[in-house]
Amino acid sequence: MKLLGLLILSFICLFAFPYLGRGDVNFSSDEGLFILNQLRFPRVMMAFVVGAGLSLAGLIFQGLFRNSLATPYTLGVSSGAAFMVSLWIKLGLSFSFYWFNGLAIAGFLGALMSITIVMTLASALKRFEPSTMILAGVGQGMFFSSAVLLLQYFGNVFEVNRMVQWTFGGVEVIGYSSVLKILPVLLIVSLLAWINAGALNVLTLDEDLAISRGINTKRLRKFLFFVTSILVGFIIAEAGPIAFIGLLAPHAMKKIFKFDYRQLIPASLLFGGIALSVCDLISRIVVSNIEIPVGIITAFLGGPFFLFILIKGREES
Amino acid sequence: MLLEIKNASLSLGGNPILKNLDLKIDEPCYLAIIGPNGAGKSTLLKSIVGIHGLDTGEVIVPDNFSSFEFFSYVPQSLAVMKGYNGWDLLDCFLYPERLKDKKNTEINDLLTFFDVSSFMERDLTTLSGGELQRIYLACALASKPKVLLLDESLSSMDPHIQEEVIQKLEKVQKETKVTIIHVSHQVNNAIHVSDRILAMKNGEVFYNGETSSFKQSDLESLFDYKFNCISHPDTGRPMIVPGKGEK
Repeated sequence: MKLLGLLILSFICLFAFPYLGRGDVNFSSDEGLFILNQLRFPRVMMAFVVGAGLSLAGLIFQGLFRNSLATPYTLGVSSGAAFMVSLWIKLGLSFSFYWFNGLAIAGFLGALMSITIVMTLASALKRFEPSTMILAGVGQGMFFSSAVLLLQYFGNVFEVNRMVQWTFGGVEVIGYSSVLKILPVLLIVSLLAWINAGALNVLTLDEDLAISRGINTKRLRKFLFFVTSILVGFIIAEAGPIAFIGLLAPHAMKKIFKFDYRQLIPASLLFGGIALSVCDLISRIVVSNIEIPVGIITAFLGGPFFLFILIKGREES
Repeated sequence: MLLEIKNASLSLGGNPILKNLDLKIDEPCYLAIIGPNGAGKSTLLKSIVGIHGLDTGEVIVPDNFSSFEFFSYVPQSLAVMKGYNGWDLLDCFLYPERLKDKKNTEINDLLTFFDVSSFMERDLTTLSGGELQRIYLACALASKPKVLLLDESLSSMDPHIQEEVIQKLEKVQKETKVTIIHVSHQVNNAIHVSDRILAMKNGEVFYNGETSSFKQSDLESLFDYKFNCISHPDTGRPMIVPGKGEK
Protein backbone atom coordinates (compact mmCIF):
# COMPACT_ATOMS: atom_id res chain seq x y z
CA MET A 1 0.00 0.00 0.00
CA LYS A 2 2.74 2.41 1.04
CA LEU A 3 4.84 1.04 -1.80
CA LEU A 4 2.05 1.83 -4.24
CA GLY A 5 2.03 5.41 -2.97
CA LEU A 6 5.78 5.67 -3.56
CA LEU A 7 5.31 4.21 -7.04
CA ILE A 8 2.69 6.82 -7.91
CA LEU A 9 4.90 9.61 -6.57
CA SER A 10 7.76 8.26 -8.66
CA PHE A 11 5.67 8.43 -11.82
CA ILE A 12 4.68 11.99 -10.98
CA CYS A 13 8.37 12.90 -10.57
CA LEU A 14 9.43 11.22 -13.78
CA PHE A 15 6.66 12.57 -15.98
CA ALA A 16 5.75 15.94 -14.48
CA PHE A 17 9.10 17.37 -13.35
CA PRO A 18 10.48 17.68 -16.90
CA TYR A 19 7.74 20.20 -17.62
CA LEU A 20 8.75 22.36 -14.67
CA GLY A 21 11.68 24.69 -14.90
CA ARG A 22 12.91 28.18 -15.45
CA GLY A 23 12.00 30.23 -18.47
CA ASP A 24 9.07 30.01 -20.82
CA VAL A 25 9.58 26.99 -22.95
CA ASN A 26 7.05 26.39 -25.66
CA PHE A 27 6.85 22.61 -25.68
CA SER A 28 5.13 22.52 -29.06
CA SER A 29 7.99 24.17 -30.90
CA ASP A 30 10.94 22.18 -32.22
CA GLU A 31 13.26 23.95 -29.82
CA GLY A 32 10.94 23.22 -26.91
CA LEU A 33 10.68 19.56 -27.86
CA PHE A 34 14.47 19.32 -28.02
CA ILE A 35 14.78 20.83 -24.55
CA LEU A 36 12.14 18.46 -23.25
CA ASN A 37 13.40 15.26 -24.87
CA GLN A 38 17.15 15.76 -24.84
CA LEU A 39 17.64 17.83 -21.68
CA ARG A 40 14.74 17.79 -19.27
CA PHE A 41 13.58 14.16 -19.47
CA PRO A 42 17.12 12.72 -19.45
CA ARG A 43 18.02 14.94 -16.52
CA VAL A 44 15.03 13.95 -14.42
CA MET A 45 15.62 10.29 -15.24
CA MET A 46 19.28 10.69 -14.38
CA ALA A 47 18.39 12.27 -11.03
CA PHE A 48 15.96 9.44 -10.33
CA VAL A 49 18.36 6.64 -11.26
CA VAL A 50 21.28 8.19 -9.35
CA GLY A 51 19.11 8.82 -6.28
CA ALA A 52 17.72 5.29 -6.39
CA GLY A 53 21.18 3.78 -6.76
CA LEU A 54 22.77 5.77 -3.93
CA SER A 55 19.83 5.00 -1.68
CA LEU A 56 20.06 1.27 -2.43
CA ALA A 57 23.82 1.35 -1.81
CA GLY A 58 23.28 3.09 1.53
CA LEU A 59 20.62 0.54 2.55
CA ILE A 60 22.84 -2.42 1.68
CA PHE A 61 25.94 -0.96 3.37
CA GLN A 62 23.95 -0.16 6.52
CA GLY A 63 22.71 -3.74 6.64
CA LEU A 64 26.07 -5.36 5.88
CA PHE A 65 27.94 -3.29 8.44
CA ARG A 66 25.05 -3.28 10.92
CA ASN A 67 25.74 0.41 11.32
CA SER A 68 23.34 3.16 10.40
CA LEU A 69 26.21 5.47 9.43
CA ALA A 70 27.53 3.24 6.67
CA THR A 71 27.17 4.94 3.29
CA PRO A 72 29.34 5.18 0.16
CA TYR A 73 30.75 8.38 1.66
CA THR A 74 31.53 7.25 5.19
CA LEU A 75 33.24 4.18 3.72
CA GLY A 76 35.57 6.47 1.80
CA VAL A 77 34.50 5.32 -1.65
CA SER A 78 33.69 8.80 -2.90
CA SER A 79 36.88 10.30 -1.53
CA GLY A 80 38.89 7.71 -3.42
CA ALA A 81 36.98 8.60 -6.58
CA ALA A 82 37.53 12.33 -6.00
CA PHE A 83 41.23 11.71 -5.55
CA MET A 84 41.57 9.82 -8.85
CA VAL A 85 39.54 12.45 -10.69
CA SER A 86 41.70 15.26 -9.28
CA LEU A 87 44.85 13.34 -10.17
CA TRP A 88 43.48 12.81 -13.66
CA ILE A 89 42.85 16.53 -14.08
CA LYS A 90 46.20 17.51 -12.58
CA LEU A 91 48.10 15.16 -14.89
CA GLY A 92 46.15 16.58 -17.80
CA LEU A 93 45.19 13.16 -19.04
CA SER A 94 42.63 12.78 -21.72
CA PHE A 95 41.60 9.34 -22.66
CA SER A 96 38.39 7.57 -23.35
CA PHE A 97 37.34 3.97 -23.47
CA TYR A 98 34.42 3.11 -25.73
CA TRP A 99 31.68 5.46 -24.61
CA PHE A 100 33.12 6.27 -21.20
CA ASN A 101 35.02 9.55 -20.93
CA GLY A 102 38.24 9.99 -19.02
CA LEU A 103 36.84 11.61 -15.89
CA ALA A 104 34.22 8.90 -15.54
CA ILE A 105 36.88 6.21 -15.82
CA ALA A 106 39.04 7.99 -13.24
CA GLY A 107 36.09 8.22 -10.86
CA PHE A 108 35.26 4.57 -11.37
CA LEU A 109 38.86 3.47 -10.81
CA GLY A 110 39.08 5.64 -7.69
CA ALA A 111 35.96 4.06 -6.27
CA LEU A 112 37.33 0.59 -7.02
CA MET A 113 40.63 1.51 -5.41
CA SER A 114 38.89 2.46 -2.16
CA ILE A 115 36.85 -0.73 -2.24
CA THR A 116 39.97 -2.80 -2.74
CA ILE A 117 41.59 -1.18 0.28
CA VAL A 118 38.55 -1.84 2.48
CA MET A 119 38.19 -5.41 1.15
CA THR A 120 41.87 -6.16 1.72
CA LEU A 121 41.55 -4.93 5.28
CA ALA A 122 38.46 -7.08 5.65
CA SER A 123 40.20 -10.26 4.59
CA ALA A 124 43.30 -9.43 6.64
CA LEU A 125 41.16 -9.48 9.76
CA LYS A 126 40.05 -12.95 10.75
CA ARG A 127 36.53 -11.89 11.58
CA PHE A 128 34.75 -9.12 9.68
CA GLU A 129 34.23 -6.49 12.36
CA PRO A 130 31.69 -3.96 11.09
CA SER A 131 32.85 -1.10 13.30
CA THR A 132 36.49 -1.58 12.30
CA MET A 133 35.51 -1.41 8.65
CA ILE A 134 33.67 1.86 9.17
CA LEU A 135 36.69 3.33 10.95
CA ALA A 136 38.92 2.09 8.14
CA GLY A 137 36.60 3.75 5.65
CA VAL A 138 36.63 7.03 7.54
CA GLY A 139 40.42 6.85 7.82
CA GLN A 140 41.05 6.29 4.16
CA GLY A 141 38.42 8.92 3.31
CA MET A 142 40.38 11.50 5.29
CA PHE A 143 43.60 10.44 3.66
CA PHE A 144 42.22 10.85 0.15
CA SER A 145 40.50 14.13 1.01
CA SER A 146 43.80 15.64 2.07
CA ALA A 147 45.45 14.19 -1.03
CA VAL A 148 42.82 16.03 -3.06
CA LEU A 149 43.59 19.27 -1.20
CA LEU A 150 47.28 18.75 -1.94
CA LEU A 151 46.56 18.33 -5.64
CA GLN A 152 44.41 21.44 -5.57
CA TYR A 153 47.18 23.39 -3.85
CA PHE A 154 49.56 22.52 -6.68
CA GLY A 155 46.98 22.98 -9.41
CA ASN A 156 46.45 26.06 -11.53
CA VAL A 157 43.19 28.02 -11.59
CA PHE A 158 41.64 25.98 -14.38
CA GLU A 159 42.58 22.65 -12.90
CA VAL A 160 41.30 23.60 -9.47
CA ASN A 161 38.11 24.86 -11.00
CA ARG A 162 37.52 21.54 -12.75
CA MET A 163 38.32 19.57 -9.61
CA VAL A 164 35.93 21.62 -7.51
CA GLN A 165 33.25 21.51 -10.19
CA TRP A 166 33.44 17.73 -10.17
CA THR A 167 33.06 17.49 -6.40
CA PHE A 168 29.80 19.48 -6.55
CA GLY A 169 28.13 16.51 -8.16
CA GLY A 170 25.40 16.98 -10.69
CA VAL A 171 22.90 15.29 -12.91
CA GLU A 172 23.01 17.71 -15.86
CA VAL A 173 23.16 15.43 -18.86
CA ILE A 174 22.44 15.66 -22.56
CA GLY A 175 20.67 12.68 -24.01
CA TYR A 176 20.20 9.31 -22.38
CA SER A 177 23.68 7.82 -22.55
CA SER A 178 24.50 8.36 -18.84
CA VAL A 179 21.16 6.95 -17.74
CA LEU A 180 21.67 3.93 -19.95
CA LYS A 181 25.09 3.27 -18.44
CA ILE A 182 23.82 3.28 -14.84
CA LEU A 183 20.40 1.69 -15.28
CA PRO A 184 21.49 -1.90 -16.15
CA VAL A 185 23.93 -1.98 -13.21
CA LEU A 186 21.23 -0.61 -10.93
CA LEU A 187 18.75 -3.25 -12.03
CA ILE A 188 21.24 -6.11 -11.62
CA VAL A 189 22.37 -4.98 -8.16
CA SER A 190 18.75 -4.45 -7.07
CA LEU A 191 17.94 -7.97 -8.18
CA LEU A 192 20.95 -9.45 -6.39
CA ALA A 193 20.02 -7.58 -3.22
CA TRP A 194 16.42 -8.73 -3.56
CA ILE A 195 17.47 -12.37 -3.89
CA ASN A 196 19.46 -12.04 -0.66
CA ALA A 197 16.77 -10.05 1.17
CA GLY A 198 15.85 -12.94 3.49
CA ALA A 199 19.47 -13.54 4.42
CA LEU A 200 19.99 -9.81 5.01
CA ASN A 201 17.05 -9.83 7.43
CA VAL A 202 18.72 -12.54 9.53
CA LEU A 203 22.19 -11.01 9.25
CA THR A 204 20.93 -7.61 10.39
CA LEU A 205 19.42 -9.15 13.52
CA ASP A 206 22.37 -11.34 14.51
CA GLU A 207 25.42 -12.69 12.76
CA ASP A 208 25.65 -15.86 14.88
CA LEU A 209 22.03 -16.66 14.22
CA ALA A 210 22.64 -16.14 10.50
CA ILE A 211 25.57 -18.56 10.53
CA SER A 212 23.51 -21.14 12.40
CA ARG A 213 20.88 -20.88 9.67
CA GLY A 214 23.47 -21.89 7.11
CA ILE A 215 24.25 -18.41 5.75
CA ASN A 216 27.87 -17.90 4.76
CA THR A 217 27.94 -14.41 6.23
CA LYS A 218 31.51 -13.64 5.26
CA ARG A 219 30.89 -14.49 1.61
CA LEU A 220 27.54 -12.72 1.54
CA ARG A 221 29.11 -9.54 2.95
CA LYS A 222 31.99 -9.56 0.49
CA PHE A 223 29.77 -10.31 -2.48
CA LEU A 224 27.16 -7.65 -1.75
CA PHE A 225 29.81 -5.12 -0.78
CA PHE A 226 31.58 -5.71 -4.07
CA VAL A 227 28.57 -5.48 -6.39
CA THR A 228 27.19 -2.48 -4.53
CA SER A 229 30.52 -0.72 -4.79
CA ILE A 230 30.55 -1.31 -8.55
CA LEU A 231 27.17 0.42 -8.67
CA VAL A 232 28.52 3.31 -6.61
CA GLY A 233 31.54 3.48 -8.92
CA PHE A 234 29.27 3.82 -11.96
CA ILE A 235 27.17 6.49 -10.27
CA ILE A 236 30.14 8.54 -9.08
CA ALA A 237 31.71 8.24 -12.51
CA GLU A 238 28.67 9.79 -14.16
CA ALA A 239 27.30 12.13 -11.51
CA GLY A 240 30.17 12.92 -9.18
CA PRO A 241 29.84 12.62 -5.42
CA ILE A 242 26.31 13.44 -4.29
CA ALA A 243 26.16 13.37 -0.54
CA PHE A 244 23.53 12.30 1.94
CA ILE A 245 20.99 10.54 -0.29
CA GLY A 246 22.52 7.22 0.71
CA LEU A 247 22.12 8.08 4.37
CA LEU A 248 18.85 9.94 4.29
CA ALA A 249 16.61 7.82 2.06
CA PRO A 250 17.13 4.39 3.70
CA HIS A 251 16.72 5.95 7.15
CA ALA A 252 13.44 7.56 6.21
CA MET A 253 12.19 4.26 4.80
CA LYS A 254 13.18 2.35 7.94
CA LYS A 255 10.94 4.71 9.92
CA ILE A 256 7.98 4.17 7.58
CA PHE A 257 8.29 0.51 6.63
CA LYS A 258 8.80 -2.47 8.89
CA PHE A 259 12.28 -3.93 8.99
CA ASP A 260 12.11 -6.32 6.08
CA TYR A 261 14.51 -6.00 3.19
CA ARG A 262 11.86 -7.38 0.83
CA GLN A 263 10.04 -4.10 1.40
CA LEU A 264 12.98 -1.85 2.22
CA ILE A 265 14.79 -2.52 -1.06
CA PRO A 266 12.00 -1.37 -3.41
CA ALA A 267 10.99 1.41 -1.01
CA SER A 268 14.53 2.80 -0.74
CA LEU A 269 14.99 2.64 -4.50
CA LEU A 270 11.82 4.62 -5.14
CA PHE A 271 12.27 7.09 -2.30
CA GLY A 272 15.90 7.75 -3.21
CA GLY A 273 14.80 8.46 -6.76
CA ILE A 274 12.02 10.77 -5.62
CA ALA A 275 14.28 12.58 -3.14
CA LEU A 276 17.01 13.33 -5.65
CA SER A 277 14.47 14.33 -8.32
CA VAL A 278 12.95 16.81 -5.89
CA CYS A 279 16.39 18.14 -4.90
CA ASP A 280 17.21 18.51 -8.58
CA LEU A 281 13.94 20.34 -9.21
CA ILE A 282 14.77 22.70 -6.35
CA SER A 283 18.25 23.23 -7.73
CA ARG A 284 16.79 24.14 -11.11
CA ILE A 285 14.06 26.54 -10.02
CA VAL A 286 14.78 27.99 -6.60
CA VAL A 287 17.25 30.68 -7.61
CA SER A 288 16.39 32.47 -10.82
CA ASN A 289 19.01 32.42 -13.57
CA ILE A 290 21.44 30.15 -11.71
CA GLU A 291 21.36 26.42 -11.36
CA ILE A 292 22.73 25.32 -8.03
CA PRO A 293 24.53 21.94 -8.30
CA VAL A 294 22.26 19.28 -6.87
CA GLY A 295 25.07 17.93 -4.66
CA ILE A 296 24.94 21.17 -2.70
CA ILE A 297 21.16 20.96 -2.29
CA THR A 298 21.27 17.39 -0.98
CA ALA A 299 23.98 18.21 1.54
CA PHE A 300 22.14 21.36 2.55
CA LEU A 301 18.86 19.54 3.18
CA GLY A 302 20.51 16.29 4.26
CA GLY A 303 22.59 17.84 7.05
CA PRO A 304 19.66 19.03 9.18
CA PHE A 305 17.72 15.84 8.41
CA PHE A 306 20.67 13.80 9.60
CA LEU A 307 20.82 15.70 12.89
CA PHE A 308 17.08 15.21 13.25
CA ILE A 309 17.54 11.44 12.93
CA LEU A 310 20.32 11.49 15.51
CA ILE A 311 18.20 13.31 18.08
CA LYS A 312 15.09 11.25 17.33
CA GLY A 313 17.05 8.02 17.53
CA ARG A 314 18.42 9.02 20.92
CA GLU A 315 14.91 9.71 22.23
CA GLU A 316 13.60 6.34 21.14
CA SER A 317 16.36 4.16 22.45
CA MET B 1 24.48 -41.96 14.42
CA LEU B 2 22.84 -38.58 14.95
CA LEU B 3 25.72 -36.31 15.76
CA GLU B 4 29.39 -36.95 16.28
CA ILE B 5 32.15 -34.61 17.34
CA LYS B 6 35.57 -36.09 16.76
CA ASN B 7 38.74 -34.90 18.39
CA ALA B 8 37.67 -31.25 18.44
CA SER B 9 40.30 -28.66 19.33
CA LEU B 10 40.01 -24.91 19.15
CA SER B 11 42.07 -21.97 20.36
CA LEU B 12 40.69 -18.45 20.52
CA GLY B 13 43.10 -15.54 20.83
CA GLY B 14 45.93 -17.96 21.67
CA ASN B 15 43.99 -19.61 24.51
CA PRO B 16 43.11 -23.27 24.07
CA ILE B 17 39.34 -23.50 24.65
CA LEU B 18 38.53 -27.01 23.44
CA LYS B 19 41.05 -29.85 23.80
CA ASN B 20 40.59 -33.09 21.85
CA LEU B 21 36.93 -33.29 22.70
CA ASP B 22 34.80 -36.25 21.60
CA LEU B 23 31.05 -36.59 21.77
CA LYS B 24 28.77 -39.07 20.07
CA ILE B 25 25.00 -39.06 20.12
CA ASP B 26 23.27 -42.11 18.62
CA GLU B 27 19.71 -41.75 19.84
CA PRO B 28 17.51 -38.71 20.40
CA CYS B 29 17.97 -37.55 23.99
CA TYR B 30 18.11 -34.60 26.35
CA LEU B 31 21.80 -33.85 26.87
CA ALA B 32 22.81 -31.31 29.49
CA ILE B 33 26.24 -29.70 29.30
CA ILE B 34 27.51 -28.46 32.66
CA GLY B 35 30.83 -27.26 33.98
CA PRO B 36 32.61 -24.28 35.51
CA ASN B 37 32.88 -20.90 33.76
CA GLY B 38 35.37 -20.93 30.93
CA ALA B 39 35.14 -24.70 30.44
CA GLY B 40 34.28 -24.20 26.75
CA LYS B 41 30.58 -25.08 26.89
CA SER B 42 29.31 -22.18 24.77
CA THR B 43 32.27 -22.47 22.42
CA LEU B 44 31.40 -26.12 21.84
CA LEU B 45 27.86 -25.17 20.80
CA LYS B 46 29.21 -22.44 18.52
CA SER B 47 31.61 -24.88 16.92
CA ILE B 48 28.80 -27.36 16.32
CA VAL B 49 26.79 -24.83 14.29
CA GLY B 50 29.82 -23.39 12.50
CA ILE B 51 30.24 -20.00 14.17
CA HIS B 52 33.76 -21.02 15.20
CA GLY B 53 35.66 -23.24 12.80
CA LEU B 54 37.56 -25.98 14.62
CA ASP B 55 41.37 -25.96 14.47
CA THR B 56 41.37 -29.75 14.29
CA GLY B 57 38.67 -32.38 14.40
CA GLU B 58 35.24 -32.41 12.87
CA VAL B 59 31.52 -32.25 13.46
CA ILE B 60 29.67 -35.03 11.64
CA VAL B 61 25.96 -34.99 10.89
CA PRO B 62 24.06 -37.54 8.77
CA ASP B 63 24.71 -37.08 5.05
CA ASN B 64 21.20 -36.26 4.00
CA PHE B 65 20.94 -33.07 6.08
CA SER B 66 22.33 -29.59 5.65
CA SER B 67 23.20 -27.76 8.85
CA PHE B 68 20.24 -25.37 8.77
CA GLU B 69 17.77 -28.25 8.51
CA PHE B 70 19.53 -30.20 11.18
CA PHE B 71 20.27 -27.63 13.90
CA SER B 72 18.47 -24.82 15.57
CA TYR B 73 20.65 -22.70 17.81
CA VAL B 74 19.59 -20.26 20.52
CA PRO B 75 22.60 -18.08 21.46
CA GLN B 76 23.36 -17.05 25.01
CA SER B 77 22.91 -13.34 24.37
CA LEU B 78 19.71 -12.89 22.44
CA ALA B 79 19.79 -10.24 19.76
CA VAL B 80 17.03 -7.66 19.61
CA MET B 81 16.60 -4.99 16.98
CA LYS B 82 14.14 -2.18 16.69
CA GLY B 83 11.62 -3.03 14.00
CA TYR B 84 11.75 -6.81 14.53
CA ASN B 85 8.82 -8.49 16.26
CA GLY B 86 8.23 -12.15 17.13
CA TRP B 87 7.01 -13.01 13.64
CA ASP B 88 10.16 -11.54 12.10
CA LEU B 89 12.24 -13.60 14.51
CA LEU B 90 10.25 -16.66 13.49
CA ASP B 91 11.09 -15.93 9.84
CA CYS B 92 14.78 -15.66 10.78
CA PHE B 93 14.63 -19.12 12.39
CA LEU B 94 12.76 -20.55 9.41
CA TYR B 95 15.31 -19.17 6.91
CA PRO B 96 15.71 -20.08 4.02
CA GLU B 97 11.96 -20.66 4.23
CA ARG B 98 9.52 -18.17 5.67
CA LEU B 99 6.11 -18.33 7.27
CA LYS B 100 3.53 -17.80 4.54
CA ASP B 101 0.44 -17.81 6.71
CA LYS B 102 0.25 -16.47 10.27
CA LYS B 103 -2.72 -18.77 10.85
CA ASN B 104 -0.65 -21.91 10.28
CA THR B 105 -2.07 -24.33 12.88
CA GLU B 106 1.14 -26.17 13.62
CA ILE B 107 3.08 -22.97 14.30
CA ASN B 108 0.26 -21.47 16.35
CA ASP B 109 -0.03 -24.61 18.45
CA LEU B 110 3.67 -24.35 19.18
CA LEU B 111 3.40 -20.66 20.09
CA THR B 112 0.43 -21.37 22.33
CA PHE B 113 2.27 -24.28 23.92
CA PHE B 114 5.06 -21.94 24.99
CA ASP B 115 2.59 -19.15 25.91
CA VAL B 116 4.09 -16.60 23.55
CA SER B 117 1.18 -15.99 21.15
CA SER B 118 0.18 -12.82 23.01
CA PHE B 119 3.50 -11.04 22.44
CA MET B 120 4.37 -12.11 18.92
CA GLU B 121 3.34 -8.70 17.57
CA ARG B 122 5.48 -6.78 20.05
CA ASP B 123 8.83 -5.25 19.11
CA LEU B 124 11.61 -7.48 20.46
CA THR B 125 13.22 -4.47 22.18
CA THR B 126 10.16 -4.08 24.43
CA LEU B 127 10.17 -7.66 25.77
CA SER B 128 11.56 -8.68 29.17
CA GLY B 129 14.49 -11.09 29.35
CA GLY B 130 12.31 -14.07 30.24
CA GLU B 131 9.72 -13.30 27.55
CA LEU B 132 12.45 -12.97 24.98
CA GLN B 133 13.93 -16.34 25.97
CA ARG B 134 10.53 -18.00 25.61
CA ILE B 135 9.94 -16.45 22.20
CA TYR B 136 13.39 -17.53 20.99
CA LEU B 137 12.77 -21.05 22.27
CA ALA B 138 9.43 -21.36 20.49
CA CYS B 139 10.81 -19.91 17.24
CA ALA B 140 13.85 -22.19 17.38
CA LEU B 141 11.59 -25.23 17.57
CA ALA B 142 9.43 -23.98 14.68
CA SER B 143 12.00 -25.00 12.08
CA LYS B 144 11.64 -28.61 13.30
CA PRO B 145 15.32 -29.24 13.93
CA LYS B 146 16.75 -32.67 14.65
CA VAL B 147 19.03 -31.08 17.24
CA LEU B 148 18.11 -28.04 19.33
CA LEU B 149 21.08 -26.26 20.89
CA LEU B 150 20.29 -24.10 23.91
CA ASP B 151 22.83 -21.84 25.62
CA GLU B 152 21.54 -20.75 29.03
CA SER B 153 18.17 -20.32 27.41
CA LEU B 154 16.07 -20.38 30.58
CA SER B 155 18.30 -18.21 32.76
CA SER B 156 16.11 -15.08 32.90
CA MET B 157 12.75 -16.77 33.39
CA ASP B 158 10.72 -16.58 36.60
CA PRO B 159 11.04 -19.76 38.68
CA HIS B 160 7.54 -21.00 37.95
CA ILE B 161 7.91 -20.27 34.21
CA GLN B 162 11.27 -22.02 34.23
CA GLU B 163 9.67 -25.05 35.84
CA GLU B 164 6.91 -25.05 33.22
CA VAL B 165 9.24 -24.56 30.30
CA ILE B 166 11.50 -27.40 31.43
CA GLN B 167 8.51 -29.72 31.63
CA LYS B 168 7.41 -28.56 28.18
CA LEU B 169 10.86 -29.09 26.70
CA GLU B 170 10.91 -32.58 28.20
CA LYS B 171 7.52 -33.26 26.63
CA VAL B 172 8.57 -31.89 23.22
CA GLN B 173 11.73 -33.97 23.35
CA LYS B 174 9.86 -37.20 24.08
CA GLU B 175 7.10 -36.54 21.54
CA THR B 176 9.02 -35.16 18.56
CA LYS B 177 12.27 -37.05 19.15
CA VAL B 178 14.27 -33.83 18.86
CA THR B 179 17.65 -34.02 20.55
CA ILE B 180 18.13 -31.16 22.98
CA ILE B 181 21.65 -30.10 23.90
CA HIS B 182 21.33 -27.66 26.75
CA VAL B 183 24.22 -25.70 28.23
CA SER B 184 23.18 -24.64 31.70
CA HIS B 185 24.54 -23.27 34.93
CA GLN B 186 21.42 -24.31 36.76
CA VAL B 187 22.89 -27.62 37.76
CA ASN B 188 19.83 -28.91 39.64
CA ASN B 189 17.59 -28.41 36.64
CA ALA B 190 20.18 -29.89 34.32
CA ILE B 191 20.60 -33.01 36.42
CA HIS B 192 16.89 -33.35 36.98
CA VAL B 193 15.73 -33.09 33.36
CA SER B 194 18.52 -34.66 31.31
CA ASP B 195 19.00 -38.21 30.04
CA ARG B 196 22.70 -37.67 29.54
CA ILE B 197 25.30 -35.34 30.97
CA LEU B 198 28.40 -33.94 29.37
CA ALA B 199 30.49 -32.31 32.09
CA MET B 200 33.32 -30.14 30.77
CA LYS B 201 36.34 -28.82 32.60
CA ASN B 202 39.15 -26.78 31.01
CA GLY B 203 38.05 -27.67 27.48
CA GLU B 204 38.06 -31.40 28.11
CA VAL B 205 35.41 -34.00 28.76
CA PHE B 206 35.16 -34.62 32.48
CA TYR B 207 32.11 -36.86 32.46
CA ASN B 208 30.12 -38.16 29.52
CA GLY B 209 27.32 -40.62 30.21
CA GLU B 210 23.92 -41.39 31.66
CA THR B 211 22.65 -38.82 34.12
CA SER B 212 21.38 -41.61 36.36
CA SER B 213 24.94 -42.64 37.15
CA PHE B 214 26.19 -39.08 37.74
CA LYS B 215 27.10 -38.90 41.45
CA GLN B 216 27.49 -36.14 44.01
CA SER B 217 31.21 -36.90 44.03
CA ASP B 218 31.38 -36.25 40.27
CA LEU B 219 29.67 -32.91 40.78
CA GLU B 220 32.06 -32.00 43.58
CA SER B 221 35.24 -32.79 41.72
CA LEU B 222 33.85 -31.05 38.59
CA PHE B 223 33.54 -27.77 40.48
CA ASP B 224 36.23 -28.45 43.13
CA TYR B 225 33.70 -27.63 45.82
CA LYS B 226 31.91 -29.58 48.56
CA PHE B 227 28.19 -29.16 47.99
CA ASN B 228 25.46 -29.93 50.46
CA CYS B 229 23.38 -32.33 48.38
CA ILE B 230 20.25 -34.36 48.91
CA SER B 231 18.82 -37.08 46.73
CA HIS B 232 15.82 -36.12 44.65
CA PRO B 233 12.85 -37.96 46.20
CA ASP B 234 11.63 -39.32 42.83
CA THR B 235 14.81 -39.97 40.89
CA GLY B 236 17.50 -40.25 43.52
CA ARG B 237 19.71 -37.85 41.55
CA PRO B 238 21.90 -35.42 43.55
CA MET B 239 20.33 -31.99 44.08
CA ILE B 240 22.29 -29.09 45.54
CA VAL B 241 20.76 -27.52 48.62
CA PRO B 242 22.02 -23.94 48.95
CA GLY B 243 23.77 -22.59 52.00
CA LYS B 244 26.10 -25.27 53.39
CA GLY B 245 28.78 -25.78 50.77
CA GLU B 246 32.47 -25.28 51.38
CA LYS B 247 35.74 -25.41 49.47
